[in-house]
Amino acid sequence: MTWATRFLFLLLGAPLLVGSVLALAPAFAYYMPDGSFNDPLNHSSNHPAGLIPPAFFALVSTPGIATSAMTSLLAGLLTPALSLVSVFLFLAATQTGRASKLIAQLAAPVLAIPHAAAAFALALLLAPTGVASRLVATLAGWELPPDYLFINHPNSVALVLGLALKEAPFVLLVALAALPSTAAPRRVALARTLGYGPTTAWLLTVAPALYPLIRLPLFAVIVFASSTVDVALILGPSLPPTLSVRLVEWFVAPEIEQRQLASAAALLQLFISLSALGIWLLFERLIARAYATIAARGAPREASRVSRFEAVLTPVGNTLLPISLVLVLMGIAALCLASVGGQWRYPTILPTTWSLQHWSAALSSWQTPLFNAIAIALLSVTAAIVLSLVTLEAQARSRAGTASLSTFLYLPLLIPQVVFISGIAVFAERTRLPPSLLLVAVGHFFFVMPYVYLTLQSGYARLDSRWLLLAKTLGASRTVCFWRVRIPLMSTQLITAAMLGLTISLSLYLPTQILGAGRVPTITTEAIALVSSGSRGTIGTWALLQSALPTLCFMLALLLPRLIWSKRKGML
Amino acid sequence: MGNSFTRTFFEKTRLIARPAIAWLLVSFSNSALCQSSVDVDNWPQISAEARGQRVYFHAWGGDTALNAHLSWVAAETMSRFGIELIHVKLADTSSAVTRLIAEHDAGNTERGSADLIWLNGENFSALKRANLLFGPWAEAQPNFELVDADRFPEMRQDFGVRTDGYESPWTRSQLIFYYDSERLIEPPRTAQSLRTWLRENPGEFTYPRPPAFLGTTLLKQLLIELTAEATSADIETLFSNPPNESFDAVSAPLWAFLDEIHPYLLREARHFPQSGAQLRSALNDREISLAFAFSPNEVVSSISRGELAPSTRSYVFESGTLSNVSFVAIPNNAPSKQGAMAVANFLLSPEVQFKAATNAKLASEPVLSFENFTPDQQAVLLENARAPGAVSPTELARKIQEPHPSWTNELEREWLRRYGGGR
Repeated sequence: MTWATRFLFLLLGAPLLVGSVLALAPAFAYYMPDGSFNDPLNHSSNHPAGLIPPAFFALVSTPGIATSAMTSLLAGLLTPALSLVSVFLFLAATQTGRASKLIAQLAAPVLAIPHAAAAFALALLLAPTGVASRLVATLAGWELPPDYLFINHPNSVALVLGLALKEAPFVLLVALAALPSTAAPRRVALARTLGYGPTTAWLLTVAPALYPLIRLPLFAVIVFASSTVDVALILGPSLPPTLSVRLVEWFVAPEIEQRQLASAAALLQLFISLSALGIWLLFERLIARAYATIAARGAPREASRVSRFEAVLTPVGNTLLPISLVLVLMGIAALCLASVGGQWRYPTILPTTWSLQHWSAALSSWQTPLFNAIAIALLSVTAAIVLSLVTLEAQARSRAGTASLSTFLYLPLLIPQVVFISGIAVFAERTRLPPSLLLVAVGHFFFVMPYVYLTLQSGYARLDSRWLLLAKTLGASRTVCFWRVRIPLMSTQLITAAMLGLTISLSLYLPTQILGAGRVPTITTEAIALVSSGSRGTIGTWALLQSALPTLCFMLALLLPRLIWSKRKGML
Repeated sequence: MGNSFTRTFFEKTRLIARPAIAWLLVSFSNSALCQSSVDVDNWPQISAEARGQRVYFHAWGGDTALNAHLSWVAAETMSRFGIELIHVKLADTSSAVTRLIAEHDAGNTERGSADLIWLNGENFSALKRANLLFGPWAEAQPNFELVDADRFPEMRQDFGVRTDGYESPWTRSQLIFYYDSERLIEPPRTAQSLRTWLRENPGEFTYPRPPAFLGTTLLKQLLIELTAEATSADIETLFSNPPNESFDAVSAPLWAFLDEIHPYLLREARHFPQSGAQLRSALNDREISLAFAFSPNEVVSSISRGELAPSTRSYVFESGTLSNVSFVAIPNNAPSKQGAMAVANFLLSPEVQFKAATNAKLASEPVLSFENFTPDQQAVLLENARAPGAVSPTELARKIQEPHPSWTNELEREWLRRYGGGR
């Protein structure tokens, strides 16, 4: 391990550990600061004193806590499963055709849309007073909205759907990035000579090779889905809400016993997220075994059975992912409508009056939030790029292993945000660091770093080292090699890493709000604060404003390399 | 002055001489370092010291009209008093309280992140008990006498807890019900008639999920009304004190009432809205035909924003509705106490009160007594009270005082125990 790697371990590991410990510690408190203890939820408290901290008793006796935990667990498992299945079926059905390229280009902007904005878009489409219902109402002549529960239903279908809509594009792009190293066409060709149809062939031969390469990002999806706050608040059930939502509710409650409860809940959240990972790992084994059995059985003899299997999977694969993308884009269109709508009562499909008041209100107060958001994003991304390059360069020079580091880098994504960010806030408070833009940028760094590092790492791995050798034979020093050969050749990856990092930083809510103590407003924190206005127009406007910058970043990530390499061949 | 000097001194030397500081801290613990140097009775000095200060005002940021009003206030305080007022827009007021407690826990006694907080009675009671507020200061403000607190005792009562000069009023609220007069001719005006009406019109009413503020307010309204019906006991004494062991008995009729109406609520009570704003858009989309708000001018301002139809009307229950005053408070670790006081005093001035009341999109209810406005201002205010959707002053006079904040806690806890876990 190089010194740079060790430094990075420390830099990322120490705050994670400190943050988690500080966030979880109050759960073990026995007495309140004034010396008395009163059990917040259990009036007839007759628990054995001393063995188990009272906060846990309070947590266990909270009504519906099991349901909350279960909802979080299920969301954590079903979201990645749904995303993975739709992406794999899509890749299997389209192979490397033109469709997959087109969809990948569509997926990129969807990836850039912040989760909360996408959740609003979905709610705006599918709620009883949503656009879909208005369309039906116009056709069927309804006067009043139907009284059905889909968004916020206790079965969490809407929550999982909303999360999967955002996560599937992420899984798709990760899978597409890893796909070239699996030699997919050759695998499929070989399987087809054995009598499999193309979709089945892909699923049987490419999927098992591709899966290990996208496993870690999937783990991040599992943890995110099981601990998300903003999406669960918008789309999730309310009786009871998911564990993460209740955790935040308790964390911001004024009573001290509720904060102890929040810490106990944070521990439960950690347990739930890790359980989701554990169950996922178990299913990995089971599915691997099933795969082996199916593959060993060989292709069915009769051609009709082959085609029947194919006939089901191919159309499903062709449509599932595109439909989900179209759904998001339709939702965005609905947000646009809402943002310029005045009166828009049910059941009219379009607003009856148009108005720019939401935009003029938003634009009159957007400068500071915009400046803050950009400053934080630039600071955290620059730090992440510099540190990644230093570490990667040191590794390249010493040829040390990097596998453990890339796993480790996922840690901030594998510990629920609410858990460790609140701890870092306590830490900052204890060390008397005032809440500032810089502190927020440091918090963002932890979430930006993994993506930046992993993108650049693949750039390092992909670069043909013979270029550097050639430069050295021409007398270039290591420094010259780095600046004049490696950096220019890696500019595409650098731009991608920067834009990905900026996108992530721009959409972070919890770290910004908690570490900034509300004094560092960004577009995202303003948007979430205005959600409580309940006005469709205001929400639409801010959701669009919140999506605009990340989308711009993504477009730049696609365009800039083309501009830079417009006079070179084979660089894209 | 002395305070800020010692503070700078303290911070500068902190890094160099920690042990020395520890000694300093012990030996000076009873002197300037820990004492507040703010003399609340010397208002000219406060105004002078406030100049150049930066005041962080933590207030709910979910209302664009209020945000715009506060940014106007900020521009004015800057040009008139040289105070930089920064509105920290909160999604939930209690997060400011959480932060204050965390700062207190971490020993931060002089560099707090908030200078002025818009508190509700529940949070005020918690913070006052924990000794985390600065004061008393509110009644020393020159403009405080304009509220005529001797005639309006609610200006010194936050949820039944005496403010003792630790909070300054800045706007007032009252529970009002509203409906679309094109859909509903005769809305229910008592709890009992609400129940009967709901049975005949299932799905046309709902309430925000407690502990959402507005939802809990409805619970309190129903509790007081149902209790008044059931007993002849002294309601005012009962609710101005914390609930005792009779809570179960007193609240039983409320739970029976809720059990009865829940099947007739929107979505059969399997999901509740999160806020009054969601309630409003549900009414506007005709999902429900009766809604309520904790702001007497909600309907007028919403009509002007295009969020409610012009045919919407509002009213108050026959036996009156809950009302209270909104207050601002200063944490005892606020760095800019003088600036915060100057801002609070400005918020109480007839000019700001009138501006907030006549801003069509905000339509805040003034805390000043009516005769303290100029005759011109009075004429405009009277004219506004006749606007479509406004509640008449005679109806608004039917006020019920907020019960002691412990009732809020108990009701929320019991509601969550009964309904919060789902079915």
